[in-house]
Amino acid sequence: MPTVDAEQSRTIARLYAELAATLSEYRFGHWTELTKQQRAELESHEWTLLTYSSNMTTHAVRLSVANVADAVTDITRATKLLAAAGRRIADVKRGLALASAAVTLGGAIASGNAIAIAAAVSSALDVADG
Amino acid sequence: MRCRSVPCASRGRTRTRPNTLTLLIVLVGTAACARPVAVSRYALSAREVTARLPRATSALAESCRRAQSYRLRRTGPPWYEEDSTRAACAGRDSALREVLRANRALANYFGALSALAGSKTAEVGARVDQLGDAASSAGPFDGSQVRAIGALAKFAASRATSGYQRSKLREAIASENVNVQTITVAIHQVIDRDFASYVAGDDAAATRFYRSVLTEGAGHEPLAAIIARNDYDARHEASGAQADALRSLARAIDAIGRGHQQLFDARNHLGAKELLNGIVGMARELDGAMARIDKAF
Repeated sequence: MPTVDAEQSRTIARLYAELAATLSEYRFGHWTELTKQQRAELESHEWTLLTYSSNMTTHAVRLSVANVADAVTDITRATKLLAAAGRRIADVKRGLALASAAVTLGGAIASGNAIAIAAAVSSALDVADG
Repeated sequence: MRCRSVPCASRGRTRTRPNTLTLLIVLVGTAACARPVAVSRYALSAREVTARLPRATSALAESCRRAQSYRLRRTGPPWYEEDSTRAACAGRDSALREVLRANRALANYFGALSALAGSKTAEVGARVDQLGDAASSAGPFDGSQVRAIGALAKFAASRATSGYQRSKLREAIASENVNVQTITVAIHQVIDRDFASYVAGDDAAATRFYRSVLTEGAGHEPLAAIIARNDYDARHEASGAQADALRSLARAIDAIGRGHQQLFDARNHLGAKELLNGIVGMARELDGAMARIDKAF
């Protein structure tokens, strides 16, 4: 259905649904006047029209989404850039952790406390590896 | 709250280089306080709303199968396989997947926006506090030097992270506003009109099925007719609730678009109180909508 746009599809879907509803009202309104076969035939048409209506709605959905395909591609690319920016901020945090560990190590070395030095070295290595 | 540490930090510093320290403290306070909370709040709520859409599409897919089963029971042979309903709903399933794909792009964008906006400047602060503690326990530094190290590090970290953070947020909001508007308008329209049309059509199918069955057999099977009628009433009520929820979801998607437009308009003042007030109002609107959606889906 390449020549029917989303808005036209919605209009056609609504018309099919209205026609199905009209047939249904007729069938129930004239129930006793109709033969079983006539009722079955009418009902079959109603179901077909309802299915057509649903299909036309589906067509409208497809066209609406297809129209924004470029925007979806663009926003996906922008999302990746945002995530990369977030990772860079994490790097700053890591830098601070390293600085913190380095200051601790420097202080421990200045104090001459062997246990403190060992602990500070271990801590600095953990941060550097992390 | 980190901003409250500013007066504390100022104590004791007045003895050494008061002007420099005062300036430092003001700079630190400014950098740490003006966080883009509005962006974070907006992106979180927006993401929550987009997370509701898959539930709605699942319900619509299920509803299609049910409607097709009514049709097959009324027009087909006495027995049908599940494949028949699946095949009849393949088109709708595929279209719903495409809608979800667009929605997922939005959700991922809001997730990244939220992660960057709320990018744990608090964590940066905690790291800086660790630096202050480390300097404090290190022998060669006196008290004022320790505080100066902490303040400088906090200032540098805040400037480095929040300056970078803001510029990236500004860039994203500016460049993606058109795309967010395009996608939200499309999804809003699909939900408000097409999904509503699916619900109405499937409800019409249920009405047609039950009414036909009851008209044909109520006189012969009165008890079964009562059960069938109750079944129909419950189904019809659920359809009404779904239609209401879809209207709420459509309005929420529309609000997401408006909220992003607000961010875009205020992109050079993302820490402004007016922006935050506007976004908080919008976020409350979204919270209300989500409660209604959760009742139906």
